[in-house]
Amino acid sequence: MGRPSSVDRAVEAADVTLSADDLAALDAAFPIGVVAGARYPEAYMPSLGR
Amino acid sequence: MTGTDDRMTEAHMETRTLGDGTPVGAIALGAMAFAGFYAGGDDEEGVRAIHRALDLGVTLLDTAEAYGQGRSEGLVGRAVRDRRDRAVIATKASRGGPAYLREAIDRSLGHLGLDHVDLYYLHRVDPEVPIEETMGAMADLVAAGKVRAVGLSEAGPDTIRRAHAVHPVAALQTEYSLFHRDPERDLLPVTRELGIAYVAYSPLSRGLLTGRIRGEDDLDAGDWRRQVPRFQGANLAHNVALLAPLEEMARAKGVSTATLALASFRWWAWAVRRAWTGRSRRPT
Ligand SMILES: NC(=O)c1ccc[n+]([C@@H]2O[C@H](COP(=O)([O-])OP(=O)(O)OC[C@H]3O[C@@H](n4cnc5c(N)ncnc54)[C@H](OP(=O)(O)O)[C@@H]3O)[C@@H](O)[C@H]2O)c1
Repeated sequence: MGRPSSVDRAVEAADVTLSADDLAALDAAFPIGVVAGARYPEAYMPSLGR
Repeated sequence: MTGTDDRMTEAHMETRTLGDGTPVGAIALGAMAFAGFYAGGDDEEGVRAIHRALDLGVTLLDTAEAYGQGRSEGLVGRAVRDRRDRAVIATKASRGGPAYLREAIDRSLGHLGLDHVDLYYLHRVDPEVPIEETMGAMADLVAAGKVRAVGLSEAGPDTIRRAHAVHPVAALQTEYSLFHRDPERDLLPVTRELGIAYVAYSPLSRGLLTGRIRGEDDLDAGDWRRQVPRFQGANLAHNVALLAPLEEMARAKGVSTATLALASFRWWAWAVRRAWTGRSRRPT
C-alpha cells in the first residue's frame, strides 16, 4: 500500500467479519495453483524459496 | 493527500509478536512502492502514508536497501525521525556473508539515519554462502547492538531450520495472498513449530487483488510488473476473471476488494490454527 488512502483501506481489514461460509467460498475460489503465470520473471524464480 | 479523512482515530490495532518477543501491529506497512518499484514513486506521499499508518496503529515498517538503492530506507528514516519510539523498523540485506553484512548494515543505518534496526532480514538466501555463516554474522551484528532481531525472506523450510539452529530467526517474510497460498503447505507449519513470526509480503498480489488492474495498459511503461508472467496477456485476463467472487463478496459487505482480500488472512490464520489445535476459537 502506498497512498495514504490505501493505508486506511488496509487497516479497515481488521474490522471485517467473515463467516465460515465466506471463508469456504474464498477457499474454493482461490485454491493453490489457480493463478496463471509465475509471480516473478521465470529467470528469477530459482532465487526464491531456497 | 487523497482520501485521508481527518477523523481522530484511536490506534487500537491488534498485535502480533516477533520471535524475539517484540510486539507489532498485525498490519505492517511496506515502503517498497514509494521508491518507484511499480510506478514512479513518491517520497512525500510515502512519508505521509507512514505517518497515517502510525496514527492508525501500524508499527512495523518494512524496507530494504534494494528498494531504490537506499531511497526507500531514506524516506522511512525521515518519516520516523520525530517518532522513532512508535515504529519497529525492519530492513534487508541483499546478500549474505560476514564481509558483506558488516558493510551493508552500516550503509542501511546511514540511509535510515538510525543507530540500530529492530529487524534485519537476509533478503534472499545467498547461494554463495552457507546460511550458518550468514547467521553467525547476523549474530555478531546483534551483539554489536546494530540489529535487535534477525529475519529471513523467501527462504525454504530446510534453510529456516539450519538458520534457526545458529541464531533465533525472529521473522520469516515471504509472498502470501489469495493468489499465492503456497506457504500454507510448508512455511506456515515450520514457522509455527519454531516460534517464528510469519510476515506476508505482497498481500494484494502486487495490486492484482485490488481489482484496479484489468489489463496491461493499466500499468505504466516502466512498471516492473509488466515483466511478471501473471501480469501479461492471457494470464492477466485469466487472473482478473478470478476476482469476480471476491469483488461480489466485497460489494455485499460494503468494503473495497483490497480490504476484503487483506481481511481473508486473519480468518485464514484462524482456520489454520483451528485445524492445528482442533479447537474452534474466534480470531484474536
Ligand atoms: N521480502 C521480499 O522479497 C519482498 C518482496 C515484495 C514486497 N515486499 C514488501 O512487501 C510490501 C508490500 O508489497 P507490495 O507493495 O507488493 O504489496 P501489495 O499490497 O500486494 O500491492 C501493493 C499495490 O496495491 C495497491 N493498493 C494497495 N492498497 C490498495 C487499495 N486499498 N486500493 C487500491 N490499490 C491498493 C498499491 O497501490 P498504491 O501504491 O496506490 O496504494 C500498490 O500498487 C513492500 O512494500 C515490501 O516492503 C517484500
